[in-house]
Amino acid sequence: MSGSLPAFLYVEDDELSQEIMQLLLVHVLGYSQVMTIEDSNHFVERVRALPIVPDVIFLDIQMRPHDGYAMLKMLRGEEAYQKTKVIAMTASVMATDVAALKTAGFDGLIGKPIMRQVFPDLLRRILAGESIWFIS
Amino acid sequence: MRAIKLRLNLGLKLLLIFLIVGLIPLIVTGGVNILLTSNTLRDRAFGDEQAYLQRKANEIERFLSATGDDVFLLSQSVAVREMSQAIVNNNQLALQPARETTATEFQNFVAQRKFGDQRVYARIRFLTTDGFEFVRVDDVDGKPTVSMNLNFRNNEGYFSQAIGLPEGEIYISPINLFDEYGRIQQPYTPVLQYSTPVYSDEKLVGVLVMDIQAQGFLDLVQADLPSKATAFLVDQEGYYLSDADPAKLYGRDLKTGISLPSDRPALSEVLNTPQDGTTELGGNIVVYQRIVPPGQEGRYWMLFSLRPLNTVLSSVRQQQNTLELALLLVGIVVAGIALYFARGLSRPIVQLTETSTLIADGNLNQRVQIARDDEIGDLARTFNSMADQLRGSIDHLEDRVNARTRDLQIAADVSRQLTTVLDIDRLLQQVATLTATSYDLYASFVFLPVENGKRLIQAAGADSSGALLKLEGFDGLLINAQPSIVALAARSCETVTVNNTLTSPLYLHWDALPDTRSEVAIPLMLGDRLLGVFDLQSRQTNRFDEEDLRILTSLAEQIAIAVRNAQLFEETKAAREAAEQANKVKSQFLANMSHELRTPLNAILNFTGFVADGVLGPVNEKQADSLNKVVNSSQHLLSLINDILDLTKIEVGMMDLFIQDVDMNAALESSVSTAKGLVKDKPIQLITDIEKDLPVIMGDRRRIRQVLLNLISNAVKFTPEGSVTISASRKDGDILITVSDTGIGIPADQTDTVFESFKQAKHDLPENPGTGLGMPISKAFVEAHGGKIWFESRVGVGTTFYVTLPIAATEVEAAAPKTEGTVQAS
Repeated sequence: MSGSLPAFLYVEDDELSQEIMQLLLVHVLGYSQVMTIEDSNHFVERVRALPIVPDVIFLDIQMRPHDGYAMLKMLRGEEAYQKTKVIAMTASVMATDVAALKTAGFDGLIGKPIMRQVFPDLLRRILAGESIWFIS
Repeated sequence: MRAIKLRLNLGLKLLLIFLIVGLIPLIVTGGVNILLTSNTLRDRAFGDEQAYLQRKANEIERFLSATGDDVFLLSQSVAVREMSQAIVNNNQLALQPARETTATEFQNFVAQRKFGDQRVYARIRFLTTDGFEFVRVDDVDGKPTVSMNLNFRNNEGYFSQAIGLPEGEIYISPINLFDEYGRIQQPYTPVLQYSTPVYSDEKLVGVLVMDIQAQGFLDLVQADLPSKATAFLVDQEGYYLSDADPAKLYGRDLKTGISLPSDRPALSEVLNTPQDGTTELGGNIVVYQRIVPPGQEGRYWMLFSLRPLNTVLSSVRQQQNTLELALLLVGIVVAGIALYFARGLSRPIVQLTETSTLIADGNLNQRVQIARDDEIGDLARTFNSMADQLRGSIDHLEDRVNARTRDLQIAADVSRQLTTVLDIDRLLQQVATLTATSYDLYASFVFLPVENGKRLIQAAGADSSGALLKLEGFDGLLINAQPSIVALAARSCETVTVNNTLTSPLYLHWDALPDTRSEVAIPLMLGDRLLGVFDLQSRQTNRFDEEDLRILTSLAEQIAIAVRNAQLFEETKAAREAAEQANKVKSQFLANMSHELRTPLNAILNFTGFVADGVLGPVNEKQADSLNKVVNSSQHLLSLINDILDLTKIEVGMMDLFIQDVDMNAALESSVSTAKGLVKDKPIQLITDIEKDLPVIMGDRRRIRQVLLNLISNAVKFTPEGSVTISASRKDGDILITVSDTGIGIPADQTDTVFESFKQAKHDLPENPGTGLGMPISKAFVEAHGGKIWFESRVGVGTTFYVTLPIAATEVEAAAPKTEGTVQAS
């Protein structure tokens, strides 16, 4: 970050969700470095090809061909991504899902639907290093 | 009386018996013998004593007899006869020469007759009928001398006594000391006269008188005496003629008065006894013998011998002692032999006893070492053979016990292994394999009934190597098949054993198993129900005895249970799998529904919100208001979805609590903080009375917060004005949380429906209506945590909800670090 604005990556195959996050992060919160990956093909390569290492990655879980857990594993394997917060962003928020995410090593969860009123506060806290597990 | 029982050991007993049996007769016979022998010896000793005296007497008698013979001979001699003839015929002419011849003859006699080296005859005379010494020869200093000193002797006894005798008779005078003049000769010279009448032509002619030196034969009395013996000779009046003490001699002639009656009165009786004999006198044995010159009745002497009894008997004693010694030796030998035999008998018996004791103590290797050819040897051999047999049978028994133990162990092992197998095919094959290999059987099968028990099919099979044994071309056995041991067992529900298949009509031969000689089929029963048949086959005849059958039957019971368990397991497994599948489907459905509902709500809520917020461009107030209504409705829909999901999970029993440690102070603080936001625009005072340092409990943090928020938001919602009080404290083993308000209260007719779904109390409040699911969900959550929830309410006064959450044994440190952030509910 080094004083500058944080960078975000959103991995999501649902176009509406992508659009909502764009609006939230760029238009509402004014962040400029927001990248999106819409499927998990060649995920590692695509991540490595990113122009900048994001500060926070929001990962959808139900994705193909690699789901969120597989992608987390890949990210954890990348040296450059050791400090990146990986937040699950999913509509699958049953207790078993939450437990699985925690076990897998996600840094936090923001369940869908995203609550735009509380999202800024959650993001701030995530950036501050807090572990956030939010289910709407 | 106290009975004293002596326990003698066998050896001692035998020894005693042998000693009694051996020694008593010995002692009795020996004693009797000694006694008898003693008497005999005594008699013999007495006899010996008599014999020696007899010998002495005989010598004297012989002497006297010889003297008698001399008298007769001389009286009949030619010289005496011619002289006698001349006297009768008065032939003076012939007389003188006859007289001289006779004198010569007398001289010859005196000279010739000797006793020892002494002359026998001191004087030989011929006296005429008037007593005149007609011929006289004297022994004068060893020389027979014709004496001319001739006298009349008609007053002498030897004349007067002899003159009246018939021809051939002899008169013997007493032994005396007198010389021819009637004087005692010095030294004493005992003499006696033999005299006999001399006839010629039956006319008495004269008397022949022979003076005999008595000392010679008297000396015989004292000669050659046995040791310690004293002998003495007395004449018929008892006067001593010979004695060890010379002072006693010749009592009559010397007029000392000493004679046997005075000196040894006890023996005086003997004098009158015309016999020989013995008597005892003062510790002495007295032997006496009457000495009578042959052909003489009137003259006799008594010869005595005295000898101490001890001396006489000493030889007897000696012999007796020898006998006693011999007896003692024999006794010792007998005792030794008794000891030897007693030991010989008792030792092997003691050894037998000791050995049998050792054997009884379990030392079965003990044997008796007795090599004898008698009955004891036989006993020892029999005993050893018995011990061998005992050892053999015990070994055999041990073998049998070991075999049984092993069989039982195998059965137990099989049973134990079976309990771990729940797959029925694997289970049955394992039964077959384990039994076939463990019991080394030709084959082991399990048959199961099919088609309602009409047929039996082979479900498992194994041979002794444990290899799978599948009967080729066997597609089942009809249950009424005959012959068939398996079918019979299935029909009768009884164990069927055939211990010789070659002779049994029950046995069904299978080509695949040509060597079967024994077969046992045991029905696997569960109560009355036939689960199958356990069939075992062996190459040995008589392989299955009663013990085997007991073990196998017991094993079959275990197998039946295991089979039933496996069947039940399969049934329940199927049911469980079905239920699990159903749950999984339900769960998946709920998860999918949640996901599928939330995804569009994400779009609806946010896009509407962005528009209403003017993010996408300006909107007027009316538009914004409408768009906000969409947002609110969408949020309500989201709450509804959440609640429905929760409730559905509760109702299908799939409520999944995410159990972790819950800091109750933090949870309450967070809820109070939310409540503050809720009462912000209302005239409600929020009061808190929360005990500090409430314990950390184990629970689902999100659900507990959800309950608290639900209670608080309800209180706020149903309280137009006044206060809402939140308190929490420890009570017993619980945390008691109360949320009380001063709201509208719950009417009595609705108190029963508070915790029912979709049954929100009717009210006229302008608030957003709830989903009506909050209370039932809260109740389910509280109860899922083991707590309770209830309330008290009065219409128009207010309502108080009580919640207890058990602290439980899993209470953890209140100061546990917070490792996770907040999970918030919308």
